[in-house]
Amino acid sequence: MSGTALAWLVGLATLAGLDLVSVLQGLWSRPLVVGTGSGLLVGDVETGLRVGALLELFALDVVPVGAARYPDFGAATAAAVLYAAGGEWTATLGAASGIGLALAIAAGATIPAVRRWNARTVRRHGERLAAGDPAAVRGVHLACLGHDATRSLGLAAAWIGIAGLLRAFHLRPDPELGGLLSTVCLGGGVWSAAHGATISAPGGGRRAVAAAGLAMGVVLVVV
Amino acid sequence: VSIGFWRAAARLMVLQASWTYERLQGIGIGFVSLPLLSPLRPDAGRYRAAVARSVEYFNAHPYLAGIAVGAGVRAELDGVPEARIRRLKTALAGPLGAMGDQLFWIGVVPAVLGALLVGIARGGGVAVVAVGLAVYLAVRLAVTAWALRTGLAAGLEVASALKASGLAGQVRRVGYQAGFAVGLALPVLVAWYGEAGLRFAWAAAGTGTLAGVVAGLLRRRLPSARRVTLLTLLAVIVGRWALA
Repeated sequence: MSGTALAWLVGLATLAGLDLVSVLQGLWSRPLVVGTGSGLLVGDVETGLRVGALLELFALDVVPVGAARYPDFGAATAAAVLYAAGGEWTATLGAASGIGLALAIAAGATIPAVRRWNARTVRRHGERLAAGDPAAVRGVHLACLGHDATRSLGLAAAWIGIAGLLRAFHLRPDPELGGLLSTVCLGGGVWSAAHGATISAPGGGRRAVAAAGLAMGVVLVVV
Repeated sequence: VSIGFWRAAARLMVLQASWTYERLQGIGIGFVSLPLLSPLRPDAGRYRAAVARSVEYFNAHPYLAGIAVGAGVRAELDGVPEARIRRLKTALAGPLGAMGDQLFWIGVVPAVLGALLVGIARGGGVAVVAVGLAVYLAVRLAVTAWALRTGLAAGLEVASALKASGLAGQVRRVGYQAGFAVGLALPVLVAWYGEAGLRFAWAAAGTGTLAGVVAGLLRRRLPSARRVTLLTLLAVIVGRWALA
């Protein structure tokens, strides 16, 4: 894999990290989008889609609300795709998704750290902010944006570096174990998505609607 | 619509960059408000007082925070007393946060992603993701601009404007669409993995669905699926190693 492709992958993962909270909050940080983009960049779209879709099932149970702690799937998904790319996906899907999950949970722990870093910056400029100094408002906000950019870039480089090392040392499961791990991950992903689809119901009725969707999906598959 | 409006709308895209546990979105709201408060610049005292108020504690859903920014700026420009401006922001924070979370994080986002998963599993590939992303971003930008415009136009009457928009009425409908889309996606996606060679896909999916429903009924009294999956993966690896 070329250095240029890896640099683009780090760029994509950094963008995903920023999208989670600080910039846009579109769908750039979603595993499905990052997985697809990473697959394109590493030249294995099939693996990117498969890994991205499976990690997306886990992400569907996450609500990124205010002070809540949640995983950061962006760089973790890029690393998982890099790890799995170029192999038989049925053998690497589970291991890659497990790596992605672990890295996403670990990355989530960096968000409170950045918020505390932001708070220190705000406190340092407290007097100017209280006096309504517009330059202080701009400066503090852009500095905090820099904090998250640093976090996102650092995570992207670290996680992709880890995935690169695992690839370099051929640390992949044999097909039998890999298949078993993939099956476990699919079960966990379905659990997570089913939970997300049913628990966050405004009022009642969402469980019944989700069950109707499930039934229609089964019919679609059978037909 | 002024240049200041579009600068503020663009700044709303990075609203949460300075989120802290003390002021939540406060600094971001101030950063967004600056271009809109510029008509007050000739009166330095009034301008600085308005900027200082804009960076105080505030939180709302990032897509709808423009409503509060617009309403707050309109009130500042109209010379509304500061106590009323603070009451306005306090009154807006809760509803805009709760409604936005329900509408977007728990509604639109899973609905779109459920549809994308179905599209991929039915062979749509990269094109499905690209189109879905583009449509979602267009909606995101449109909602942001609408929110800011609504707040600026309504000022203190923003509650009536929000009610008239019918946004709250969409919450339940979008929630149902999300539940349906994710429910539909699960078997289609499992078939996609199973037909391509993943063994025991349906058994895994059946177990997962049952666990998800039980966990939903127990209301989060179980550990998350993410942690259980990671522990199971470790157990499988260690078990295999021990048997070998």
